[in-house]
Amino acid sequence: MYYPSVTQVTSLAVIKRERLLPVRGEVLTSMGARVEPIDVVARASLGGDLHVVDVGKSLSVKSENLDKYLLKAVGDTVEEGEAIAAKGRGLIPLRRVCRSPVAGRIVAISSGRVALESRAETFELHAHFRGTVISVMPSLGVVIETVGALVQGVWGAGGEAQGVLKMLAEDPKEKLVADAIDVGCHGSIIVGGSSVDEEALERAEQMQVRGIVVGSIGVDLGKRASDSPFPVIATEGMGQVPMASVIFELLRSNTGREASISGVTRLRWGTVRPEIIIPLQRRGVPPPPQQLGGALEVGAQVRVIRQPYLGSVGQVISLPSQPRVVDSGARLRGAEVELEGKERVFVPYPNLELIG
Amino acid sequence: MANGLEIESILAADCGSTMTKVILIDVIDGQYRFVAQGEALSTIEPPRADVRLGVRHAIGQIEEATGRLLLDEQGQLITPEQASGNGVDVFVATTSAAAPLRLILAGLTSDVSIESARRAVSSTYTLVEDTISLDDGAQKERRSAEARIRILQRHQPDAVFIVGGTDGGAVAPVADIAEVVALACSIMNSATRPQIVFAGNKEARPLVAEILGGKGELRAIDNVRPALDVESVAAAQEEIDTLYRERKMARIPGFGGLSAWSSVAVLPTTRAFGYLIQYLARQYGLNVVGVDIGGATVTVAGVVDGHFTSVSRSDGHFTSVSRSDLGLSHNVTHISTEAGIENILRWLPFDMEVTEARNIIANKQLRPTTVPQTHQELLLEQAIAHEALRLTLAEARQKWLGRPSAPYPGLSPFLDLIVGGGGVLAHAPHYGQAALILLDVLQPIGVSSLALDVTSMVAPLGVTATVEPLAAAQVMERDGFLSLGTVVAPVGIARKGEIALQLRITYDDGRALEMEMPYGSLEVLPLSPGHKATLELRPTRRFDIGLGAKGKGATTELEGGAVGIIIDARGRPLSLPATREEQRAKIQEWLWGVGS
Repeated sequence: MYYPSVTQVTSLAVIKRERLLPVRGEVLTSMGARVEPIDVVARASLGGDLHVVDVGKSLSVKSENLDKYLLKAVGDTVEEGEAIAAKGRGLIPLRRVCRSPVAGRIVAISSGRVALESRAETFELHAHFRGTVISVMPSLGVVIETVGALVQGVWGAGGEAQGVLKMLAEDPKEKLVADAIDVGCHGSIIVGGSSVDEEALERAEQMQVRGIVVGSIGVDLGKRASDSPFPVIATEGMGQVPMASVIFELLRSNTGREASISGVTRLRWGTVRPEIIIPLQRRGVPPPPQQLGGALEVGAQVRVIRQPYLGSVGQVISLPSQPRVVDSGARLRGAEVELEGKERVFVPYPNLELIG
Repeated sequence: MANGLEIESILAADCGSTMTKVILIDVIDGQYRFVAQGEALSTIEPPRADVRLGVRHAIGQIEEATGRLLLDEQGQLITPEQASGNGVDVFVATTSAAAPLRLILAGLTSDVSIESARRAVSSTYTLVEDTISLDDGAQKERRSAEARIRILQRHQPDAVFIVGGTDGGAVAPVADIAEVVALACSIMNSATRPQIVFAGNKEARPLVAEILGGKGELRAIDNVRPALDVESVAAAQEEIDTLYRERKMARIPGFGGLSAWSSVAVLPTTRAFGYLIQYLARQYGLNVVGVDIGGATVTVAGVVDGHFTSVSRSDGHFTSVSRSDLGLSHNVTHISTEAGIENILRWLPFDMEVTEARNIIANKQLRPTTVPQTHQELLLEQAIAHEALRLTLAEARQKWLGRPSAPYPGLSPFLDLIVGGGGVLAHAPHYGQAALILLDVLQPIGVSSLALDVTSMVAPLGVTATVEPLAAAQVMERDGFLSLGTVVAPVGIARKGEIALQLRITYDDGRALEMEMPYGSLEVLPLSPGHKATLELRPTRRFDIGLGAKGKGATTELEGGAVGIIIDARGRPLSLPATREEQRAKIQEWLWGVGS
């Protein structure tokens, strides 16, 4: 038995996502509430710049004696220039005063030093996709559920965005080029076939697209894509790899629908994969929950995740009991897979994943 | 129980960052023997976020291979072994699947105390995120207290390691550093505050405790630099190990269940790996180095000139360096960045565009469990292994300086045994490829045996030794390693083509062969496993083969191995030609030389 990794590509599933604040804050919605992508479901105050004032040195007092000279405590707000400590009282001519260099809040006092945070910014957590709040975690965030299509990517950059899905390729092998991106792409999430080049990224920026989904992206463009003002998702990996046909077709079938995409990616220790969520109108009975993580079996739909067949999708037709020698010279256990072009190939187990 | 052995069967698991391996040991004819191995993807991320699932999958393979039931219908381990032969008496485990311990090192001087701390923490799975020192003025933005606090806030480390000052020295500078840490801790949420470890001037402990009082949990341990010319890292290593177990291993999904199965504490893989290397050194009185090139971490552990006084203690000549940022799967892009892509490509016998190599490397990081299927990708992965090992070894070599067995600065010490482990070596299609990676990077000198941990047994046997030392010893003796053969590497300098070594090999069937090895050459003399030969070595007057003097020869009896007897007269340190074209030709020549 071999238990491969899994990529979710499904036209209809119940999708639940935790929406969490980066720091503790306030949840603004309630259980059962219907939310739209741009709705603010929670907010929190993020710290501003940090400033340390050496009050002990400023007043020439030992840190252990500082308490009696302090005029403020941890948590107090101060204005720029406001006194935070003073030595001497009233009209004594030699009175020394230590003033705050910024407007903000005192966050710590230790060993004669006072740490101040300048005025904080408010962070607003959006729902990101249309759905229903099914759980509220006070001060932390919410869980939102929707029914719709879901595609997990492999590489992503940027944050989250929403827009109408627009196909700019006829074929999974077609590159996303600048000429295809016109003013009609404004506010859309555009989908290419195999890869994207720098010129296309620039044009997408000019046309203010909301996001890009392609099969792959050259490693040299990774940094450039990360600097884009919108999320970029690659469904297969790095290089010039065509988008898996099953993903391409699913996205094409949802052209014109509102989609929410996230380029946020974490590869380890709490994996987060980039993804495209396309909420659909609920009709009738919701789909059953997906069974993920089963063993590889004959008939399973798989994707090859390493060269020479990287990105190819096919079906397992046999699971040979003996290892076979592959081009590298290694003897490896694996599966016989019939790729979409009907080509039959042997693929080592680690280079296969379940897709669906 | 039969044969007077209380424990008859053992399952030993190693849960790695990408793969989980389990071996079954059982008593056969009164001896502990390796019976079967299972290997499955590690399961520490959704949708299979339970480390025991991967262990069960691997055990399932052993069940298939042996027909012996080891898990019950609920997936629980059957223990002890039943009269039917199902189940096992003992389960033990190691793991390297947890995130490394993220550290900030804080000290007085970046080149003395912090370097000592860095050496101390490199013995297990750690990542030094940044350093704060009083002399970090070269980076001006760090001079302010705000900037130092920001470093701590930004990284939110698991622990802050404060060092500095010799015992009995001034305490004020240490207090300055402690105050910065205290202020940063005050700002942090109590749930995310780091553990503070103080390993500096012991006279400063009360003051440091006072400064940090109530702002973070403080543990004070022996000074890593008690005197300017003395480094003492044992206590720090112990503390880091404890922290790793408490703060990281315990958080692996399903770790509680794994621990419940285990008869003894689950060990960090690097620790168990080290145990076995020390055992080998102690048992046979050898200089031993083991390398483990894993998916997330590269470890080099060795005993050089060790003199052991008890089973669990060395005299400090054991060294272990783990680089948790250089693994061949999860950290492969970092290897490329730190080593430089050109340094990787120099190990390839064919031309490969930089962009193509970088795309393959990036895809490997995105799909860390995949294996190379093409010849080109295989050799690229082996080239990366060269560089990952080179970078790790650079740290280990510092620890061997000045040992009697390390007479040549910048070169490896004389080693009796080199053990290679990790997927890239164990699964190399040709044993010569694995041997060449070890030779190219470790560059052993003199006469050394090469062994390969093909069944990934080193760490599981290391933890097995903690519960049944006899089992570990017997399995290692009989089934442990695959012998690759012996390498003879003369040290010296000559003109290319000048004779470095003359030798005569006499096989056990009476055949004999005489050879002259020119400087710069690499040859393999076939000697299959199970066969013996007598080798007479006569280095020329400029070359040393580890017998105490240049030109001094010897006659020795050798056993065969999967590769044979490798005569490595390429020179030390090994140098590659300057141009890529020449490099390609040379690498191809060497690969052919070892039969790959």
